[in-house]
Amino acid sequence: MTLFRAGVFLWSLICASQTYAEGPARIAVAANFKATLAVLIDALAQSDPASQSNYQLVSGSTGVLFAQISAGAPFDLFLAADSARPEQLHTQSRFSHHQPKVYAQGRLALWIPGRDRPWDAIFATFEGDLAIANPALAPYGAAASALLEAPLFQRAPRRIQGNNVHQAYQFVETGNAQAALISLAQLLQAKVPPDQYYLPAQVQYPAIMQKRILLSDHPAARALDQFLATPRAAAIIKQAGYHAALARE
Amino acid sequence: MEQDLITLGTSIRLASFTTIILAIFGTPLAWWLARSQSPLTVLCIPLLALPLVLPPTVIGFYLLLAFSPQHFFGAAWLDWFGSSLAFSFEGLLLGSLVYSLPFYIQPMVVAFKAIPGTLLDAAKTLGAGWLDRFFTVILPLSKNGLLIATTLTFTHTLGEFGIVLMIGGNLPGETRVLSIALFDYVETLNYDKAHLLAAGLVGFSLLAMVLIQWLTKDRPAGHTDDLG
Repeated sequence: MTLFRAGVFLWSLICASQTYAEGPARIAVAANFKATLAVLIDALAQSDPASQSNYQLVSGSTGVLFAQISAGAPFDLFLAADSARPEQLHTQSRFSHHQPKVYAQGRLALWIPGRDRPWDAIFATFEGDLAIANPALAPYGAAASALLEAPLFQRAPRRIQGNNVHQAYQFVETGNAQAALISLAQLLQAKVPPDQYYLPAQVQYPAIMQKRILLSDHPAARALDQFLATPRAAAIIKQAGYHAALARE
Repeated sequence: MEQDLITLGTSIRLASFTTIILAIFGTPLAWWLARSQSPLTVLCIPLLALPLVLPPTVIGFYLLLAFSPQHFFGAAWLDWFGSSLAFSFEGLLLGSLVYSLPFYIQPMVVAFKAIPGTLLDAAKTLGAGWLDRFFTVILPLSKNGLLIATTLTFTHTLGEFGIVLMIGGNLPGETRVLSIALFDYVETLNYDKAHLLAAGLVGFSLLAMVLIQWLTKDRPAGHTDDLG
């Protein structure tokens, strides 16, 4: 009987934690934008100090997050690194009343920490491993892969795949790969000196239009969604290493 | 499909190499752990069991640091062999050896402990050298243990995921193994292909377990019951 009561008690706890989930809004954010989103939430909290604890950030590759949301993961807002996945969610009936919107345009950056020669010489002679995010899961990986279709390097480097741009960054950070083709935002966030990275021209790879989509009517998620469309947010996003001119629709 | 066959090949190669290398080096180690009176074994047994309880991410993280040319081991390896361990088949193999070590050692220790010392003494008295004793007394008596140890090692390596995700780099034909391909299929919602791989792994693992059950049944030699 005691066991039964304990069981009922536990079950009620589990249920409680579910029904009172009106607590923090769960935000699924593409790995490249996680740090920037944290800054944005801080800025939002300046006008409304109570709101800071309202957000739980979960980051990963856009593909992984998309698969989780499709499978019913309880997220309230999704900030993807592409437009395809939010558009695809929009076609699902449970999300069809929310419009996907562009919040940033991503920029690829080639990072070589130990650069000791001019870039032309690097492209001509580079020998080493180049880390990118998994193109099947991460839009930055797909963009990097498209960029590498053009003869940037004279000899195509071996491509090491991380699960998302964070892992691609980490492969270089730990010294296991010599170069990474990832997001500019990550490098700015890590305060990497500008002479260590190269910004390929925008025409060399498909535009990385990052869209967001509201997944619920959670008030905090809604507030963040609206804040992302303000000029103040656009300025922060631009400073973080994105093209923000297109950040509003 | 062709990609999947390459991936299958890499997985089988990895599991086979891991099993063979552990059989060669793990067997004497298990013998020492089972029979030695040395106080060192008290320290070694928990240490070697560690990969059983550690999250694969812990092992992956340390391996990633160790493989890096920024650190001693990785730098020395690069010096000797001219190529880095990270994102290579050799690196995965090294990770698998660490990860699967207890799966080989533990059944072997149990099997070796069950061999009566008197039998070995008798063989010795009859003039059998140590190699002779190993092949005619020890090996036949620990056959079940060996069977379990190799099967567990093989299947366990086949299912390795966390470490590979951290040190592999997903290179086709080199470090992309079945579990990683399965993960990619699931995450890109390619469920048809995911089903194929997942069902294949379930089928194979089940077959391996049935095989162990069947081959070790009704054989008095070697104590397989208290495998643990």
